[in-house]
Amino acid sequence: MKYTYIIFLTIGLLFGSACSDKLDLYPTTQQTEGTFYQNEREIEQTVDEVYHQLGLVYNANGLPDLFGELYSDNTQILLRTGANNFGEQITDYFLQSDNGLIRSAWESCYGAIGICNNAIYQLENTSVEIEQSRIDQLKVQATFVRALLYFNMVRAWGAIPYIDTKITPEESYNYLRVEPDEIYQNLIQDLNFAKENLPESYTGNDIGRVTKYAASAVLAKVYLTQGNSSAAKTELEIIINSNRYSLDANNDGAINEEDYLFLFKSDTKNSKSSILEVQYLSGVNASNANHQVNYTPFFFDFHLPDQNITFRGNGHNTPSEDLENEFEENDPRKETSIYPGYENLSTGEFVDYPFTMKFFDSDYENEGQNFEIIRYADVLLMYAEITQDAQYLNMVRDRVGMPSFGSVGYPSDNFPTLPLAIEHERRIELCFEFHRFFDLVRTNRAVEVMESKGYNINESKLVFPIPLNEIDINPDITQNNGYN
Amino acid sequence: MKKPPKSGAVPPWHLNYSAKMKLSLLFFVTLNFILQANSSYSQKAKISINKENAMVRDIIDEIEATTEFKFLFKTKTVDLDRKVSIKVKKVPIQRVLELLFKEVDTSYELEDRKILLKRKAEKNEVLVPTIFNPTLPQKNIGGNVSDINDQPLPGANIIEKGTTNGVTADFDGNFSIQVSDENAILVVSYIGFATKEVALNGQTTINIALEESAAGLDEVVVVGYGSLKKGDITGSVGSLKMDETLKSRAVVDFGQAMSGKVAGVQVLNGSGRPGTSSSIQIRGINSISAGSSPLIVIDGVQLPEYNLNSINSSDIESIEVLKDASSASIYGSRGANGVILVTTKSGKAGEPELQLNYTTSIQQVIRKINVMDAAEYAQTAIDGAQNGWIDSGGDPNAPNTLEARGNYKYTWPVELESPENLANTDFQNLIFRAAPIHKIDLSYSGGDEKSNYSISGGYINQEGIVITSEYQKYSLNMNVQTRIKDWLKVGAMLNTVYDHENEPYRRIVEWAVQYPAIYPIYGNDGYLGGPLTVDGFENYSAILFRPNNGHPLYRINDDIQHRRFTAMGNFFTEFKFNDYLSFKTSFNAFYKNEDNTDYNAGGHNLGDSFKTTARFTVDNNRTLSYTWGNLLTFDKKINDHSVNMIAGFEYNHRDYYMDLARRQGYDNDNIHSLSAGQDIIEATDAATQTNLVSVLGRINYNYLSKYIVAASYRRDGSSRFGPNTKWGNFYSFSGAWRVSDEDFMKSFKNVSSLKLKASYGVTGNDNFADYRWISKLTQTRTAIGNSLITTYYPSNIENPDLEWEGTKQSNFGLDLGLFQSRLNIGADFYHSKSDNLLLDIPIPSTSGYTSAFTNSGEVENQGLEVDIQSINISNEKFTWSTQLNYSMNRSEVTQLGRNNAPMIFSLGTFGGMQKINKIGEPVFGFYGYQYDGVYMNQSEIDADPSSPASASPGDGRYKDVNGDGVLNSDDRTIIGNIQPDFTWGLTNNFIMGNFDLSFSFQGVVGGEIYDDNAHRSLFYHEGRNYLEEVNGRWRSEEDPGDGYHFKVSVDVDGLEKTASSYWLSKGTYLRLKDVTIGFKLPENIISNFGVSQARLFFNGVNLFTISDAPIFDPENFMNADVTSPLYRGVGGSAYPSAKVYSLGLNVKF
Repeated sequence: MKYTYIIFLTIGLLFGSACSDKLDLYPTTQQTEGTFYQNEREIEQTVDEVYHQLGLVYNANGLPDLFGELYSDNTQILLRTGANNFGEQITDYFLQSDNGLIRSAWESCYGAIGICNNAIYQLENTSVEIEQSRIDQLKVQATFVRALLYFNMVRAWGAIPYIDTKITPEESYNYLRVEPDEIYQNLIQDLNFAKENLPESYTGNDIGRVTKYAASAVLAKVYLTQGNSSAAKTELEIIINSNRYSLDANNDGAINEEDYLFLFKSDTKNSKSSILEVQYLSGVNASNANHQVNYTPFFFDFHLPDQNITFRGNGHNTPSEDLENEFEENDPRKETSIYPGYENLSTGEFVDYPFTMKFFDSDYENEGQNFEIIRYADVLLMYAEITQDAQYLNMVRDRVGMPSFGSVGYPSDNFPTLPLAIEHERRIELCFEFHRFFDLVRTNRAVEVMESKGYNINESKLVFPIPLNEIDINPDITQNNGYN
Repeated sequence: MKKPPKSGAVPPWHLNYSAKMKLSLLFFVTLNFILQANSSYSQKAKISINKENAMVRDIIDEIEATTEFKFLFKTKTVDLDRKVSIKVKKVPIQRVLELLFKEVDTSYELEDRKILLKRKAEKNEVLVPTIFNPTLPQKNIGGNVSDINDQPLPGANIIEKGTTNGVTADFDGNFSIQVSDENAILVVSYIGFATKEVALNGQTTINIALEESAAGLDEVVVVGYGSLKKGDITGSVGSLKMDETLKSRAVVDFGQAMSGKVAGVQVLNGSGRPGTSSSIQIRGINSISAGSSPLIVIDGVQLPEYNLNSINSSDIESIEVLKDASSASIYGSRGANGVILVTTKSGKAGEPELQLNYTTSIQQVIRKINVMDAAEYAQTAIDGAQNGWIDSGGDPNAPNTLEARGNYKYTWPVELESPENLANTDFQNLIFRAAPIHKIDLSYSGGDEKSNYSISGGYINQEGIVITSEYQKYSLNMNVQTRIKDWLKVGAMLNTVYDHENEPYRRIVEWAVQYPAIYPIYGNDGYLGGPLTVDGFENYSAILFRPNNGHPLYRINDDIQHRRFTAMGNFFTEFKFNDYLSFKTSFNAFYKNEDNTDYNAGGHNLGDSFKTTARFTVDNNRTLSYTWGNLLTFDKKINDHSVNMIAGFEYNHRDYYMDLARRQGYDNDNIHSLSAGQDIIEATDAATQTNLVSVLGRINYNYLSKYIVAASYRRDGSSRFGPNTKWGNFYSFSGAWRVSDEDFMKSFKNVSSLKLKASYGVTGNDNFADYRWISKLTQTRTAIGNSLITTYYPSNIENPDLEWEGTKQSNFGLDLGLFQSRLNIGADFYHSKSDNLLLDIPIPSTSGYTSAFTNSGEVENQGLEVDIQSINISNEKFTWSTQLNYSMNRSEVTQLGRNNAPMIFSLGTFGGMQKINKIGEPVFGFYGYQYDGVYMNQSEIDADPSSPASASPGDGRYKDVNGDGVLNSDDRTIIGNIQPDFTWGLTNNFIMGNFDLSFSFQGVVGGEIYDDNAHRSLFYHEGRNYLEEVNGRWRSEEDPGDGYHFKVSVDVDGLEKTASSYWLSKGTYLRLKDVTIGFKLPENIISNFGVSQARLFFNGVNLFTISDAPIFDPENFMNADVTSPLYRGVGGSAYPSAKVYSLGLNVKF
């Protein structure tokens, strides 16, 4: 009997000693937090992710698009079918609080904020030796992106949870909605910090990162939204007086229609007219955008001009007839903004189905045109709004050869006052650039304008519902009025 | 010493010295011999000779010619010209020699393949008395073996006690045996019956009736890490022998064989695609975010992944299902979802057996989905456009022109107004076909008291019922065991399967159902028929369905192939220290390699403008899992006390690696390879490793097999879990009481057995991805200006406390045998509570994440399972037996994450349907609006305070569940249950003479199912074809339809596209699952071919189904990952399972 136990015990001991350290296994094909953030380069890679996140939020179907365009009178869903009616709920004003698009928008905003906060946390707590100035330079970019995200969110939802540190899931339950004023206060602080610490410009491969002037531009828009015209004016003057920016986007010394068209060429990046621009790059395995495919007709025989391969777009944002009608005759911006339709390749018949060419990229499967968040024309129009000086409005119109406000050719019957003219000009110049509904709310014109066009709108619909899911998860989160 | 007679006095059934000489000799000789590695040739070679009046010389020549035996003799010693008649079939050489030289003074010696013939007088002492002793009188005994009901027991063994002299009863139970002594004792045995010894006492004919051993209590059942007598089992174990009926089913994966056969076991199938695996749910769903598939163990090899297709079902001997926690807890952290133990065939001691099975089958789609024909569709399309136009405020009488109506969707092609000119194509006929299966299995097995072996090979060639679908499977199984020394036993098993599939494009079936019947298969220019190739429809390419992806032949040029190789095997050595203690060390391994290629063609038979970017993807993956296990077994009976104990440890290592490469941009569709593509768009890999270290033990004790108790324990350490929680403990206790063995039960004559049992156990679930506790970084590409940089962000939250999810289950059972075990009833009631759930709980997205993988939440399941087996009629001519099983399960979510926040699931693959886990409700209920019929007219809308502003007559109405007068997201409710009220299966078997017949019904009662595609055909959805039932829609107040189907409109911006009960179907169905008719060819015919048994059969699977659901198959309909509980009850795009008619032949040599 004895040898039985000896064998058994021996094997047992061998086994035990062989296996005790076998239980600690780690991924072998993926980086983990436990092994990352170990040098300056890795910290940079963590911070630079905020640009990618900004790209996600500014994609079509992101929050600025949903609120700025789809919810406005600029675009509609003319024809689109699919598994749900989330888009229709937004464009046709019968929003439900469980709307999936709004939920995704919320989640991608807070996801991006979490990434900004983590980047800032890693910078502040790193044991890697990095020069303080470099840390500040990196940190300020994350801070800027976070502020910009909150600015969009507070406009779209009103009171929202405000988080500016790295938090645990447990802690997240304690972050309830705070009033817009407080959020504005925080984001203004962040933007000022950014303005003070960001460089005026970049060189080489860094061109495209956010600058001091981008911070001023966002600040100006924030102040304008808050009704603080003088502060907005100061910020806009910083930009205008810097003489770094101009309507001469293609930098050929002449300000003309070409400059407008140049802005929407797929390979135009960070032009002279660009103050704040989301960075995308076309091609396979690059950093692609999705605007064109979402702003393209939901027709199977659709093809882009001068191409003969068909593809069906998502039909999510089709230019409305109302917008088409707002264009003045001979406005050269019209064809780029609203292309009338396309030719059916098999019958040669013209299909009347408008779409925008602002996001045109011939590589539509891997599109990568940059997206302008704030460009110089916007700055000028804001400045015109504050100063009530038509010359800044007319600069924008002159560029495309349109008659000045107040001149004979101007359609004064339709837009008799300067504020209305500016509203009109912003709509035309900046259509599909996610400004329209934000502008209407900012100027308190949303209910009046939308109602006049038959939309089922009221004051409570000036914000989106808080995603129901968030309330289910944390019942202490409240819902916006009108969505209960 | 008696002189042998010259002629005449031999028994007529062996030798016949005919007085008459025939001029013509008719003879037929069949010799069949089989050589075997581990036993001598002479023992194993089988000889058949059928000769009349042949000379001894000829017979010797014949034997030498057809076997390896050689005769050695002096010509003088043997009378070669003597005439004999000999008729034997498959007997050893000794028998032939015995008969050949019975009456003469020639003796023989056998030395391997040499046969030495001598004169008897020369060397009498070399004869082996037990084989042949001519000096002893031989008595011929005839008889019959039957059961107590006079049912013959063919194949019963009759052995003369104390000798190796034995025979087997024939098909009618008759036998004859020569015994040495008129007072000899015969030992008669038959599987499942008590062995009986009968003293002859001078009788020459004898009828023997065997009694069935009570309810098969001595039958051995495989349990984890060992086996137990059925009577000693305390837990709940379902057992399934792969009997003839099951073998007749033309099934490729063994899950299908289990369907409807074992209570508490639900077989679910995602797809009828050849080569896919069914999914099995044992008892309820215990887990929300982790897997709910059982652990599969094949001959001790624990499979690292759930796949029932890793073995040829023909190689399976039996399947045991460990259902309750006490049986499964010996598998610890992998046992929470139950365990399926598969035992493959092994050789039996006795005559070697060669078996050949061949089946040829024809498969057909079970049913087609009833969709509208061209005329019905045309009218519906017109209605849709007109209703949309009216609802948008248009003038109903406006002309049908774009100018008048402003939007193509409010108009229709005038061609729709003359539907008789439309194509009226049945696209389902286009893609479905009657498809054959050929299946052949060859097996060869045998053994003696020390060794046994089994080798089998299988081949399946299956065409799918969907065009382009092809499947081949090759399998090889080997199993050997030998006792080298009394104390040393070794054995090994190897099972390999290679299969190859041509998979059709996954949406082909869906498209065939949905493509409108108005289009021809091919339209203008020979391109695929559709809106752009049929005159008049050009402007409706997004309205009356698609010209391209939607046509069932759109992706016909794609090429999707899978090649899989699976090998599993083990090698063990068992040391037996004494009668009761042994030690076994075994090495088990599993290896699988999958090689998948997918070519997405660029050309679609639609012309150049519809070419797409061709892509080719190759992905390879390999899985290796090996286990080293060591087990000490103690098994001893001391007086009335029996103790069986095991103790062991185990180390399991799993290793997975996959790589994937993709290119795009192909000049044409001819070459399907990476190299032919222009741009590399992806090259990725992934690797995971898992280690599991375990210590385990179990003790079973019984007193007289009357009082039985058992306990088990296992401690597992797993690499999958957080550093703080690597180890878990799993244990169970159980007991049983054989009430029927008590004295007070003796008076209940009709109760043949009664056993009560109870158990409690804890099992774990580790069924989720590796490294989940670790916070990983996702790599992305970020653009700055024209440059691309690589950036990272954390994609999940670290959780160092991540640990097992545990299930605690109690089981109460009863096994009752009545009327001499003619009626056996087994019932089990169970209750389980799974806590510490591995839950991907939703968390506030303000945390930066939307969910966290943690241990929280609780699910309870309880249920009842009943198995009834009865032998209704059993007599010589006719046997009828019935098996019935019933199972029901109720689940309830009892706790979730923080605030018990409900978990709402809305995945893209649901097509908008939602599911919910909510406290107090069954798991994964369907969630949405409650549909409430049609608003028949305006006054009904006006009367309904919650009617939406956009409602118009003919629209669907939905319940204002919370009664607040507003219809909004808060009115969503649980609208369906994925869990049926109960499931059942009923099998009847009949045996009549050489015929056998069996048929099985099965069904599900209650529960709801959702088909992602069917719902799109219930309302306007891009112009898909509609289900025929939509003909009952509301058309006008005068023609209101069936009151259930709302009107069709191109503008679906109400709740049509939001999840509601309108989208659900009833899960109830009844099905004739299986019919088998077999015929055993009469022995006197087949024996001439050297065949010992031959059975011809017809089998039909899924011949008949009753179901309301508008899907192909209510049993097998699920899409996506059927092993995930999230997708339970959700179907769509599935490749339908088939109705199969088979003809087959089993032959045993």
